[in-house]
Amino acid sequence: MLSIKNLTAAIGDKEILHDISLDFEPGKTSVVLGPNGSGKSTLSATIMGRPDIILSEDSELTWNGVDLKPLSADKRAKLGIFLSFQSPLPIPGVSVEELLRVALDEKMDPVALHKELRLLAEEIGLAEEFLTRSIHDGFSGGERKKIEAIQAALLAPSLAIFDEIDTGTDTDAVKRIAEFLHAHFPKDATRIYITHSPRLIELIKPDSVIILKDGKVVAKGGHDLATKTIKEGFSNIHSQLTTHNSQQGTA
Amino acid sequence: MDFPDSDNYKYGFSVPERTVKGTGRGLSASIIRQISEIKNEPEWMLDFRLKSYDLFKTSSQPKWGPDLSALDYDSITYYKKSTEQAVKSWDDLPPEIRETYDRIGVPEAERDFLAGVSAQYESEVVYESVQKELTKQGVIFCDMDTAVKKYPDIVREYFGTLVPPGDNFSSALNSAAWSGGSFVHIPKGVKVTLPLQAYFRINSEAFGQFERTLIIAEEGSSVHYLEGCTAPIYRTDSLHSAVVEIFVKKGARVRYTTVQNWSGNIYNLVTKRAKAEEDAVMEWVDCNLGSKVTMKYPAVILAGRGARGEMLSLSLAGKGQHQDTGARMIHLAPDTHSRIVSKSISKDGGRSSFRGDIRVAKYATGCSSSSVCDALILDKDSRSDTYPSLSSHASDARLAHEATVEKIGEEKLFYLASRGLSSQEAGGLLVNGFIEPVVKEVPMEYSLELNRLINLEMEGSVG
Repeated sequence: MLSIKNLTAAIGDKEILHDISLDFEPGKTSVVLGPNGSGKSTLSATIMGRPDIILSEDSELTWNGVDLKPLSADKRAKLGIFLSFQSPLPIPGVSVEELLRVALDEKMDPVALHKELRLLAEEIGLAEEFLTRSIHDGFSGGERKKIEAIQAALLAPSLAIFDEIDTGTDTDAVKRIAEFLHAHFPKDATRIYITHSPRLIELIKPDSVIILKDGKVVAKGGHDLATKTIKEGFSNIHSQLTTHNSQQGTA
Repeated sequence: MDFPDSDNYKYGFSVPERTVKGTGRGLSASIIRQISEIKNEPEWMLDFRLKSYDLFKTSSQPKWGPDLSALDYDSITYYKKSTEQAVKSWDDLPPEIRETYDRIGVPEAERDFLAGVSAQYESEVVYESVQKELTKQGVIFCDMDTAVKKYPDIVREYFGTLVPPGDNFSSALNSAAWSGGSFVHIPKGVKVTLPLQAYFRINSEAFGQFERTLIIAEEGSSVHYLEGCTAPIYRTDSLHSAVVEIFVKKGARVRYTTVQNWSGNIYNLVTKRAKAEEDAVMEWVDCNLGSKVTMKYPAVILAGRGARGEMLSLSLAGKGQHQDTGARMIHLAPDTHSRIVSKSISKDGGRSSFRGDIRVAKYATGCSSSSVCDALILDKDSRSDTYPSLSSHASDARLAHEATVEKIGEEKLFYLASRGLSSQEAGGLLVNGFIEPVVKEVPMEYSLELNRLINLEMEGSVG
């Protein structure tokens, strides 16, 4: 279980997340919704361990009882945590295959990796050239997200955060990516989707929905909360703050 | 004293010195006569040397570029011969020299992928061998000293014409004291598919190596020439000053690849120039990893219509190193094209400089040139400079220059960390990715070595 308690996070002098408490259960799919600038990407980067994000003294962040705060991102990744980036930067001269060869050094031999990558690319509908070209360099939105999804499948994390895995992709690709992730993820993995897409939410059928606004959790609920929020917009959420915020519960 | 590179430098060993003939320290007209006499040279070559020495005495070091003030010409030994003659079998070398080349891996590379090998130890070539098939086709690959005696007509026609002794202080010094190096002559239409390799090794302390290479590729021929170099680590400095002249005739193609990995006590001052005639292609692939100071700006003179010149440059400047490199493309004929790609890495206080010099003559219409110079700086103590110079007297020349400087971005490191890569693994991957456009042009046997060296150098540099 991922447990977040009283989490307050800042980048430089700017406090982005304020006193967030959330639990994410194994095997459950959660959706984090919120307007732009509400702190959704910061929350996911905080869980992954981006080094420029500073947590307050009393912030708690544990994964299966392990305190994540002192661990660098690569150590968190080794514990099974994965983050799919919203807009990953291109890395000249490094292909996804080369990257995974290093990442999976002890888990998969290069020949097996080579084969597996091609099977996954075919399944998700991505041309083979994207496996050997510089990663994300000149890729379209859809191609980037497919590359992120393929990495998620191969790294087989037990906690996966997808930061806008649907952005920049057409509706067919969203469906394809959602089905791909569904097929390749173990049942007991914890999944967190950050998204604006009603279509993706329909496809993944979240167990819980969290609404983030101005760096605070303003509402929690089930699938229906997502439907309602998308229909009515975030401006109505503020009124729910008092009712939902007083509840202590798991997302 | 802390040696540059000493932790990671695999070739820093030395074996006991062996000298069958040699000169004392320093250079003088009488030492030049002595060298010429040991070599039993024709009179014209002795004259060439003595005239060059006069030019050297009146020359001065450049006022720009790296600091050469610690270079003491009088403390250096200019000539040392370690074996009586060049042999054709590795087994015929003295054991310590054989062992040196085994440790560097030259005989192994020869078995695997080379068409010919020339191994220079101190001043003279001690081993040379070329595939019989090539000899049958008329290919000549021998040491320069042999060529002076065996092929004097060809040598006299070309030697010192592209890089005249008075070109600069280092070419004057080389022309006076030269010894060893390669002579390559590829007959018309002959395409040599596997590379020819020259390997340069300095074993002695406070030594000067002055090899001289002349490559002539006749019409429609092609050849890939590879050179590598290493030396032991000593407290005193040594000097390597080479001159390379390449003639690429009509429709011929020459690629010259250097993997320079001198130890951190070597001043490496090299003049390299090629002349490309009609529709000829000249490619320099220049990788500079070692040395204390390198000054090297290979040139292509595009002298015939449709000629192409290319420079792919890679340099790594670590602690105590200054890599001052560059490329020159001189467009003298119409429809000539050139391209420069430079990748430099500076770390641990190292400094890399890249000087690109593109010139287009007045009547050379329809020319184009593009330069891309990317620098990666790994810490705040290190430095990188790019000095582009573009000048065109032709109205329609298309010249493009682009330079970038980057630091290893936190965002990219975080992305790789999220995949489980340690900061060292991530740094190594990013740096290898950065240099990939150049490394992919180097034969695989060498590119693996380059990647390995870069990974070693990256240890502890990132994160």
